[in-house]
Amino acid sequence: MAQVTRPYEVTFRQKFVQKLRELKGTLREVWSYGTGRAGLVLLVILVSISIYAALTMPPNFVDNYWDNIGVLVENPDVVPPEWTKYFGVPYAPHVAVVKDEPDAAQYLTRTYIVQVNYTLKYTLEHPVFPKGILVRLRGILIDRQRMQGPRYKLYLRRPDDIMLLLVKDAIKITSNTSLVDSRAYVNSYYDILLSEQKLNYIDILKYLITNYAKKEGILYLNETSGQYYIKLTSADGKEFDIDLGTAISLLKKEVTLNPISYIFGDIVDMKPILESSTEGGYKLSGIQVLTRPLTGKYELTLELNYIGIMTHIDAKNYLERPVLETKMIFKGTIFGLMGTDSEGHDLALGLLYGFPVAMSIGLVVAVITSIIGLLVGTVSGYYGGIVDEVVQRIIDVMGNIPLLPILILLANIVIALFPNNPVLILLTILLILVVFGWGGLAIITRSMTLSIKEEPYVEAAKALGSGNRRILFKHIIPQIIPYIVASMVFSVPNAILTEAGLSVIGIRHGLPTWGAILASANTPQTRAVAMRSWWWIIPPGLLISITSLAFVLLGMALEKIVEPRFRTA
Amino acid sequence: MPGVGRVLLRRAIALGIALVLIVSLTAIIMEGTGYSIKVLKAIIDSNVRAYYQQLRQRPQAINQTELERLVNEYRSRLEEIYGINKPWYVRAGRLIWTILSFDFSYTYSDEVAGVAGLQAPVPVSNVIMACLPRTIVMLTIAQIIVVMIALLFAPSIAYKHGSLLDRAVVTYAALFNAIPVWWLGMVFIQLFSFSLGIFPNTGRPIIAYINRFWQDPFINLMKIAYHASLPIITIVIAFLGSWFYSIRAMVLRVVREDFVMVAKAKGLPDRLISRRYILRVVAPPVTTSVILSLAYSIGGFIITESVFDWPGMGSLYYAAIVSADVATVLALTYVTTAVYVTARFILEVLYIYLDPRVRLG
Repeated sequence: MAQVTRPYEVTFRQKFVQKLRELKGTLREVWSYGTGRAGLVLLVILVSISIYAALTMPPNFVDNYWDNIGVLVENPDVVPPEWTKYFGVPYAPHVAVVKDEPDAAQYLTRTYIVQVNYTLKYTLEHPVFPKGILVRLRGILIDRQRMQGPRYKLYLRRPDDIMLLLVKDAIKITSNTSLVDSRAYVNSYYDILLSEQKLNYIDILKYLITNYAKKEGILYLNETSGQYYIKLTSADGKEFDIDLGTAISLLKKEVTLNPISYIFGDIVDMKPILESSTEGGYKLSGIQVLTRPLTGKYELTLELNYIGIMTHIDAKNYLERPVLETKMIFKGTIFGLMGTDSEGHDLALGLLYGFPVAMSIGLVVAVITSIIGLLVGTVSGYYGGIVDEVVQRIIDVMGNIPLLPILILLANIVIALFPNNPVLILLTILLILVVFGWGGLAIITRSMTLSIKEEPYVEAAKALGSGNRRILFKHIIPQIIPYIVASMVFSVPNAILTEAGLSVIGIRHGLPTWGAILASANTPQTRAVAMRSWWWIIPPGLLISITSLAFVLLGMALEKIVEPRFRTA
Repeated sequence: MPGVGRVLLRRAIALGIALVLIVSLTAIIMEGTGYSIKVLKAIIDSNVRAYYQQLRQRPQAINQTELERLVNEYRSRLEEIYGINKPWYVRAGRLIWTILSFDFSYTYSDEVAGVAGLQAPVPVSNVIMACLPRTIVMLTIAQIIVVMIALLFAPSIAYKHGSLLDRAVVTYAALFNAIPVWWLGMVFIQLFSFSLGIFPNTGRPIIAYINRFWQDPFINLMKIAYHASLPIITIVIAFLGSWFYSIRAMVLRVVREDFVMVAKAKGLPDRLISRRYILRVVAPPVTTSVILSLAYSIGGFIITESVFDWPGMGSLYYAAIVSADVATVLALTYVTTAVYVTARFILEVLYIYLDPRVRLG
């Protein structure tokens, strides 16, 4: 048996070696052209990044990371990349820290309270407001007997040494709260936000307003009412006195809507907005406030209080590890390698994992289209007759079809029919690109086949009794293959650009693509913001262009090889 | 030339069949998958709800069973009118027939009518006639500019094959073959509209300028030009490369032909060679590209128009597809394909003049 298969194996190996040598020759020839060299280098880089991305892409990347609300809330929205700071752009840094143990813990025996502190330091070097503060607690230990969680206070110590109480609340446990194991940890994230309802705006405003008024010397105590007043001057020079309480209530909305520009800043200007009232005097309708960021060292402190802890033994649990994981985040005005979009997506991830998707779409569509075009074209040209007529008519129909609208229509239909099946949607898009893509190539191969068919050596092969299939595969197709390879390489960008284009106008298949990032920049809601954010628009398009360029350059070099007339003399 | 007439007739029939097939295919896709029904169902539901309210507010009370009977009757009457109770092939067949007989019916979609700046329901032909000029002033004009520049300069660049200018053009072509035009548009909008404020960032206002164009033609023309300039600049920059490259390639193929060599060897002047020997051969394929690209531009560029917020044929097409408005989708498919097919036929006729091989062989 071994003796029978052996010679066959050898010829196969010889064939393989020969093919490899041919390939090497072709590559060397491609390399000899400037365009070819650039194309090959780009291609190698792109393929390496794609392989790296494909291997490191976490399972279910889109649901678990890319579009996971839990991840998105931790990122600042619409901020440029971290490295822009080296270009002298003023910034507020992004600091996020995960703690599994408290920074300080004590059992107050007199009041039976266990008090635990988590702190995070933050330095603001440039006068830029950060994007926000967020504290997330995963797995809070609760008091199981009373089914109650701790009370908490969130403080911010400012560079002017003032401790502002930002939020004060209790973590409520309901019967639906799901718990982790017997130690009674809450099984989800609890987010402490500076929300409209919870923000301690009164203390914040009281401090900021009196601070400003003292500095300006416009604060005075009304002896009769016992209240503090401030003397404000409007833009056109009218003076208006207002008591502190009224000022705070007038500014409540402003502060709760935009707390960051107050807690990280100082008031530098306050002007009353006056309306002439019906009695002839003036009526106060609001206060215009200007704040300026306060640079220096900040310290965010979360204080958890477990109440009614009677013994040291009870207290021990709470003192050791009251929260499994505490994330404290100062959202900066710069983030990550490539910045974020309006939903807080870390664009670096989207860009990285877009590589394999773009490359595979381009290559798969190009290869399949070329093979179909080659086979249909040669068969139709070689056999002629009714086969040829039918193929010609089909190409006629496809050549006249308004391609992009039909693509969009079909993609929309697939999305409507199978809404939650990203792979199927992607496959359908690929299928549509293939089905409508082979026509042009078939026309070329058909005309080439027509001329090769008349060559004397084909006649000779026929005379020697070769079958049609043998002639096609031995004598005709090998002649056409170089052209096919050139046009295949040229058609890769076409598929990549079409897929990206489809993404841009909103056809999503659920995988992260460069087109999808650009798509999110072109919606009516995001357009105005996105068009001012270069890091949102430039990198994805640049990557699409570079990927296409690699294939265009390669194609140009291959074209010169198969079409000698293009070579420079 | 009896042969030519027969060839033309055959081509005309083939193209006509292609047109009918494309329209039919679109209708079958939309109806066969049930995609179109979802809009009609919504329309019927809202009509039925309105009718129900109207019945309930009548002064003389109607009892519940009577009310239900009336509403159901009304619903089935509407379903009859919209043809929703018929099987999909009947609906598709009827649609194809009406479209092919140029009966474009109405659009009931607010989004579709909104692109045109009109109120639904409105005849589809009105919607198309409103959007067509907007696409022409932007896309078709941009194509004409590209073609003119390319035809003026590309041949002479090809003659200087291998020169520095030639290489620059090839590099430019390679670069802009890879850069998608809509992305270039986004970058330009970011740069010239939002950062520098030179150009407007939306094309919407041209609706008004075109609608009341004749009130003050000069001012309106200037305003339309102002709004169209950024898209036109973008398209010209993006498309010029591939036009240069393809015309250059067509010329290059001919320049190296034996008969050109012979002409050179004979010592004929370069201008004569280029006019008689090269341009005559290059004319047919170049004419094909020019005419087809102009015909193609009429249909609008969906993605580019969406980036520039341009309410043209592309935006209309997209709105119609997304809102599953069969009437508009089919009408647009019919119109754009018909224009394209007609352009192809015109090319066949032109070939008879341009290419003696067609005429004589």
